[in-house]
Amino acid sequence: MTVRVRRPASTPSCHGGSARSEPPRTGQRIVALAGNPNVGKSTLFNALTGGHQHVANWPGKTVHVARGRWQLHGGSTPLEVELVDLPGTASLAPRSPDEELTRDLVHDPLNRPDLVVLVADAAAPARSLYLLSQLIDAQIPLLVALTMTDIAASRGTDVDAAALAAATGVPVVVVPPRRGTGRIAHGAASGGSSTDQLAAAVEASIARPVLPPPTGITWSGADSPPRADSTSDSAAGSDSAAGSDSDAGSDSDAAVAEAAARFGWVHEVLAHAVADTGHRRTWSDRVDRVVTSPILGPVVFLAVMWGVFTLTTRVAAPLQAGLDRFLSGPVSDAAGRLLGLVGLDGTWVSGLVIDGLIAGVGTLLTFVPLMALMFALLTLLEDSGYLARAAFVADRVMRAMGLPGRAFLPLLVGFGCNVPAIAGTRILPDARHRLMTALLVPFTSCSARLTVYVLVATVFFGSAAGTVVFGMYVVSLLLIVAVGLVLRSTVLKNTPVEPLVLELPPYRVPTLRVLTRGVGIRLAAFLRTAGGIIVGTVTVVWLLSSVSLTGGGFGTVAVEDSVYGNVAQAVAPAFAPAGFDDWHTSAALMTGFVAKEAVIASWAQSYAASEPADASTPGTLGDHLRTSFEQSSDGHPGPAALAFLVFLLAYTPCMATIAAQRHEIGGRWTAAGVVGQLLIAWTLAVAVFQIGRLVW
Amino acid sequence: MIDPMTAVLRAIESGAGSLTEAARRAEVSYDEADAIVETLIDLGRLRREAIAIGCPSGGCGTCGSASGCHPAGHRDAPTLLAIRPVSPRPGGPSAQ
Repeated sequence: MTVRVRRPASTPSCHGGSARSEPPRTGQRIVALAGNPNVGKSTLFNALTGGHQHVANWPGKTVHVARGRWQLHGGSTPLEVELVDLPGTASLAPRSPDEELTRDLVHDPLNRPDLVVLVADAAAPARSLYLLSQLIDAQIPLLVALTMTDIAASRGTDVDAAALAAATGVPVVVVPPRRGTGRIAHGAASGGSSTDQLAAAVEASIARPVLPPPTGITWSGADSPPRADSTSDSAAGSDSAAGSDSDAGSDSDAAVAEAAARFGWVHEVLAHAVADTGHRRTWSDRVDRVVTSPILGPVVFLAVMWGVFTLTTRVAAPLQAGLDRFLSGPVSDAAGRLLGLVGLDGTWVSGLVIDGLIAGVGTLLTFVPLMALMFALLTLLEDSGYLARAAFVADRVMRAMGLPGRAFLPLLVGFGCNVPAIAGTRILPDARHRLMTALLVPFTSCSARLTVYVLVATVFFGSAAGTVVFGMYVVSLLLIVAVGLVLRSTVLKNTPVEPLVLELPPYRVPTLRVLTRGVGIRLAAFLRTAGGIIVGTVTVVWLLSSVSLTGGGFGTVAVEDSVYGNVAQAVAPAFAPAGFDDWHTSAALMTGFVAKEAVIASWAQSYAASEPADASTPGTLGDHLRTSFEQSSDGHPGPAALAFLVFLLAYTPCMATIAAQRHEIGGRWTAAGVVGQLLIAWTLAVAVFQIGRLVW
Repeated sequence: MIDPMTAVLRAIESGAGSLTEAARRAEVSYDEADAIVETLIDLGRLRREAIAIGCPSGGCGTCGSASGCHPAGHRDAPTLLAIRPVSPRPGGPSAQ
């Protein structure tokens, strides 16, 4: 099938033997306003008709149409016409009853209007020209009313009305609708007031003969193939969107071919009539130009995240330390005295309450200021629209690495929690993409790991804690890319890359209501969820640490000799090459395998329980960690702490993630993933410590 | 000679990540690319879907901030619009 499109007419001439004239009507003339939605059509209608209008269903349709009287003054003989405000429509291929009305009306030989005024948006002229091409081919008297010229100018788009009229063969009137004024560009007499000029253009256009369609495409609608004629010298030739070899009987392909031909015509008209200087961008465009830039975008993203973590740790750290001192001092003391008053001091109840619940849950409470600030900053980023830009940048980076672009969505969710991220892989249509992404998700640094990062970074790196935490997220991103590339080049070769175009939402000014609501909900949920996990884990750890392998009484055994202590000590040597083979830390990592929220609570519990003599003043957890890492690393606590953080990031997130993976990708791949995570985590941790101890 | 619609479609299929990029690759204005994409969506050659930046609505396991997330479709949820081509057609640009 070949679709022919002629070049735009060089003049809007009304010559030509094939032109036909509309027969004059005896009744009142009807002028219809048509156009895309939101182009100012109704504003123009109201300005022209004033109060002389009414709204009713169109005869035979259930579509509301406004109709009114408009007294023309611009012609030689004043004339009153009936003005009809047709529903907004994108094209004459209807998608709704509203749009169907416009299509039916312009093709009804008995009842169609005497003139259709196409209200066209100068700021987005392509859509209006697409509709114009269909109206032209319907061979109905036309006039273009160009609106939004001020907005177009502010965006650097200059529409030359005279050139537009010349290129389309349709008279063009510039009509800023808010003022109801206009000037005639072509096809009618000039002079007089602007409203008169518009009226004159309308009157002249009603009497004007209808030209043969300059587009050369016979309108067909979406339901039937176009009746194209002759050969092509235009963009819709042999290489159209539908393909020249497409089945002529396919309505769908024919409709696409027709649309392609029309856009070829639109393109040529735009080239003649529109100058896009591009000098005046909106502030949103200017911001997007930087934050979504291929080079600056990732830099800005990293800088923003560094700022978030640095601000969070610097502001929240003093508050956190104060809370820690309060909970481990006065609160623990008061609880001890209270238990002493009821005769439970020194019993297993005292161990569970003071060493378990207060130490574990209390440590969680110290993170409230930090999490509140973090949630506030992330809510600001999200609500402003920046997070969508960050996702856009991430998508591009991933695709540049040859990874599936759409996979960034579940991976992004993974930075909140890995479990829904695994479930979120279902949005990927390709099975290999789903498998690859489900294997990558555990390397995204979930929010449960964040509290551990902050604690360790604050204890060992002081004012640089924010940078260290930020670095963990960078390591997480690098791990995702590296493991993804390895998977693509080995077990998941030839994974197709799916095209994906993203449209960004507009920027918004975050509101205080949304901010406080978002922080409140997230903070409450964090405390509720993490608190539940910690209480459960603390209870189990307390039970295991109260049972002796050598037959001592329940709750009377030293924790090092308990089931919990013995297993942790058996595992600890595996971490000697990484510099953190202290059994308290290996115990924390074991409970972290169940849920990362439990790591700090497990540390707090085991350190408190291992020093029963100091139960009333157990000291801060930070002091214990510093001493422990100093000893286990032979004087290199910094590299050992970094190695621990890297291991924590890379090894299996939690049991819930394993269950989700098994459900999505099966037991074999899940088992392979867990083994891979442990190997990668251990190897990286050893490498970090061994290299770090040489230089630090 | 390639027409603007085919050029935009090919730009998307070849990995243009945004409408701006698709317009640049197709050598058309952003306005044209936008209008072409809308038409291709109307014609069923592209599909638009709102995607949430946040947690899915199906529950978030043990996530500490689960109930604070905006699930897809939530009125406060910032979304990206993903335009994905539908299945390639015999004789269409992707097969060429």
